Amino acid sequence: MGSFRLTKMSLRNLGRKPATRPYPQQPARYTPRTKGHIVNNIELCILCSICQKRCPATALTVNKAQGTWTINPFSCVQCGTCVRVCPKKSLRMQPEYTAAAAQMHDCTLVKPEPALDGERSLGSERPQRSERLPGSERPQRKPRPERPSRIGC
Amino acid sequence: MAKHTVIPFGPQHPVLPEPLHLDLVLEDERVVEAIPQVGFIHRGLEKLVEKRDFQTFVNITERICGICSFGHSLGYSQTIENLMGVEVPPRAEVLRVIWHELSRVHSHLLWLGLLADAFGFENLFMQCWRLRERILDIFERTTGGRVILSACNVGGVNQDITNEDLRGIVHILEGLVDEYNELVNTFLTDSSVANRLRGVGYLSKDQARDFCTVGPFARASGIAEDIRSYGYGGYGLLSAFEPVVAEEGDGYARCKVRALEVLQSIQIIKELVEKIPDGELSVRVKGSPVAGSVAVSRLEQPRGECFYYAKGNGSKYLSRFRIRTPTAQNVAGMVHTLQGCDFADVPLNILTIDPCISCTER
Amino acid sequence: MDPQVFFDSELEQLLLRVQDYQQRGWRFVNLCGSSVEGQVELLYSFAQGKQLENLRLLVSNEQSVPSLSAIFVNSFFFENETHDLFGVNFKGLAPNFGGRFYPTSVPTPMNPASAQAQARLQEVEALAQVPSPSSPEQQERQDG
Repeated sequence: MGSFRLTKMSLRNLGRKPATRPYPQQPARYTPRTKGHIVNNIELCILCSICQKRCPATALTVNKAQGTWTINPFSCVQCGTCVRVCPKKSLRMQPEYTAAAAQMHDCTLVKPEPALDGERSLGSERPQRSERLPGSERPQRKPRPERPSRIGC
Repeated sequence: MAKHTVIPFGPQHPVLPEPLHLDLVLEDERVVEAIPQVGFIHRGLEKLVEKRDFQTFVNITERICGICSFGHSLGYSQTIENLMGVEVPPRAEVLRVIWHELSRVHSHLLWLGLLADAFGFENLFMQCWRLRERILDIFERTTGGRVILSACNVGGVNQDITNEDLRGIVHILEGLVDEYNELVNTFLTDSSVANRLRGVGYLSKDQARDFCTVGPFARASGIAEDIRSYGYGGYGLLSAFEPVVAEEGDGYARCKVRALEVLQSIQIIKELVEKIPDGELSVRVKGSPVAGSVAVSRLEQPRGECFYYAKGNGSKYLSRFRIRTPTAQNVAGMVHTLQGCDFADVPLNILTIDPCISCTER
Repeated sequence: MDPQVFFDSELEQLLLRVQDYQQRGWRFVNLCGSSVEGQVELLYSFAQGKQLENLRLLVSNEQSVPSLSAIFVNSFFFENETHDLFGVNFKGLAPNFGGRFYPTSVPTPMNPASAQAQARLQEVEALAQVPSPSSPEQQERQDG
């Protein structure tokens, strides 16, 4: 019989613990730079839509008239281009991946306005707006369809 | 007269990383002729360049293939920089080379694992991929992605690696070398591996030259050609670079060349980490390629010489972008080595050119 | 940076220049087409060591180009690909896959002005004009 060269490594590995991690019993391990999902600090966002123009996956929609910033996290390829080109640095990349879901859905953020003026036209698809008061809480979000909880947005 | 049978190989086969079809004409267990068929993963990415801004197209080039991902984004960026006359800062060039050499290490470790799997040595396959995980962890810690790095763009790189982190990377690679040497020892001296690899798929030096083969496939037959020896980009900082060459011309030689190239890449990374200059990470590229401008560039990817050609037409969309991958050049040589080989050695022969069909068909 | 050397060539001189490269020991690097105003511009690249030279030639959709597969065997891959994507005919191509190398859903997708693409366009237009027999509005009009 010929030589078997892997004996030393095989015997050594018998005494070691496995090289694989029992995910999901042990949580996933991320690094600080891991490209997981995009979050937007809507207070700083000026709705310039540069991120929409530069997104290679057309995952972003910015509507300045309605004051909304929408991302489809399932289209996003986590390239980080939007984070780099944002002039106000309101976009950030967080390490956790988007959780799996049965249906694709968008995530919309609404920019708060300094004050409401006059009437809005009825029957329009506008999301709810909140009045900005001194020391106000975060703006109200557009009601979303029922979906399982996910990490992030 | 012996009976001829035609057996289809692929597109789905456990040994193939990507779909490739061959019609093998057999005469009693010996292959007489092999007719290749590609096109299972053609996505028309060269047509897509007419519809995507040339700066965002980098993100598409890195998704052409999972193994050579960084190589394509680097080649694309280099070609557009040649086209528009952009000068990349020196630190960015060295960082690109470091990521590219890490990409070569991970690709060769992947290939060594697949080769071991092809002749049934699953333990060795798992050990190679266990070492490869450390390289992927380095990628994740420096760029955020394990396979698709999104680190290169036209004009430079997207993020920095601090000098301290670079020394940490060298430390990890040095820790890897001892275990890696044990695996290389198995590949090159174990008798069961030698029985499967020696004498399989022989290609002489003259035949390799006639078929214009590139990369480790050619270097295993004695042709000493490597684009890295011309000193483009960050490779110019290296004090000396000699391609790894073997003379036997069979599967064993190709395994040896790739195994030793990993050690060579680790040495290159060590040398560059000591010599890396400080400076900016990228320059802003404004405007569009001039109408009628053309540029070519070449890059030594893990599989061989990759050729890029770009043509501008004055708008922000390129009028033509071409990637000629090393596998496209090596297919003719592979088909030749298949003639006369045993049926059981067909998967090994195909694997020894390191076929990356998704880059080839884009 | 790689040398950026481009020569323009005529169709008649192609084989002579390629044979000259082969005799001098150069190797064949690339053949690709690109669509230029209804014609196809072919780019042949050859290299030896650090040197890299590119030949450009312009062919119309009706012309056929001599194949290099007798001189450089590995060019069969690129010539079949160029034939499938641009509709260029190569004389003496071996092995010739006859348009089945890259199975695309439209013929010659990168060259809409080629003969095959025009023929397919006319087919599609002709089909669009024939009334569909199964639509209910058509049946009503026919009946009453």
